Amino acid sequence: MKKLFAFTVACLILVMGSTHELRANSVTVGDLVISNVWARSTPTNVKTAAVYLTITNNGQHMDRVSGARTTMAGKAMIHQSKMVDGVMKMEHAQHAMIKAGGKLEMAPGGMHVMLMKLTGQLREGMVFPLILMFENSGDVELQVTVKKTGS
Amino acid sequence: MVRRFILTGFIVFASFMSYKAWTIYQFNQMPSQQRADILTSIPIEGVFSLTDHNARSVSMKTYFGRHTLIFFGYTWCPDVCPTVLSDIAVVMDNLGQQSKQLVPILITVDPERDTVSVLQDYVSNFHPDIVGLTGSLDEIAKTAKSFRVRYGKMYLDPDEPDDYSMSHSVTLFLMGPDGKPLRTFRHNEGADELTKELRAVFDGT
Ligand SMILES: [Cu+2]
Repeated sequence: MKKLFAFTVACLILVMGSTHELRANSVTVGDLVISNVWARSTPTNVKTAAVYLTITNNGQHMDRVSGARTTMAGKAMIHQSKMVDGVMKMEHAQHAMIKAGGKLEMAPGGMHVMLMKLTGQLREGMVFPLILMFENSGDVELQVTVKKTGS
Repeated sequence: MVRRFILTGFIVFASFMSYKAWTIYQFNQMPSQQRADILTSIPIEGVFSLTDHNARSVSMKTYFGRHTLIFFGYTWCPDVCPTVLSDIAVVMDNLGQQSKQLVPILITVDPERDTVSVLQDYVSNFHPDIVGLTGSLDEIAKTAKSFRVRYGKMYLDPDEPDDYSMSHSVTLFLMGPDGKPLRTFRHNEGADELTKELRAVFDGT
């Protein structure tokens, strides 16, 4: 009996783990593959966060991200962290282009989807929806996986 | 005789000035990263008198006997600051026993938001050894000046004055056990490289 229980729990963990994996995995829309969508968990009082992701364009035509929205934040915009004369700044980018056959990586220290006026704290292990607005591919819903702060 | 003296003086002065102008011109022609590196290579004073995340009054003296690694940032910084602090957390773990010789310090450039309790919650998210420092607007301005760190408020949307972000220097300052500046690191050095460089300093190689 005990063994059966342990087995069931193990199976449940496995199944839950794999669906979680699936949700965190890539989304394909036409020629675009969007993968590794994640954000850091946020401290209690902080109302900003950054979402990182990778977009691969396997097609013959370029596309552009023109904006984003999510129920987790009052405002979402494309940002670029930039060093200007030794001072780090975040600038609003109107577009983020993914060239035909190209790849756009939004990673720490560079481009990110900036979330402002967070409606709740981002906690490790959480998954929340984010809609990216593409000029050609339209709106695409993604699932953002929240990792621990020190990642 | 007097005229010749004046003339010589003038020539010396003029050559000195044109040399100055030339070096300034050259400096301005450099890529901004190179300019930043030169600016950060000029020794800083690096003193402070602030409040830590446990509400203690601290100064450089508080940490005498240990090296300090000082970084300026703010808690609402979503991208670069948490990346640097995560790297520092990894470095502390990498250093093992040697991490006892190092105190990583985050000095806020946004004291209006970053009160003692906000900082306490923030730094503990990264590593238990990281210290967060805050103070009055004036104290922070003085500290930044002493480290030749520049910062400013940036309003992303004029209609949303509460949503400001901060621009700030992201240099990491390594200070010796005597509180004197030893060297600087770039913010994007990476945890492995930082560990290597710090080990070399601690081993005296
Ligand atoms: Cu941003």
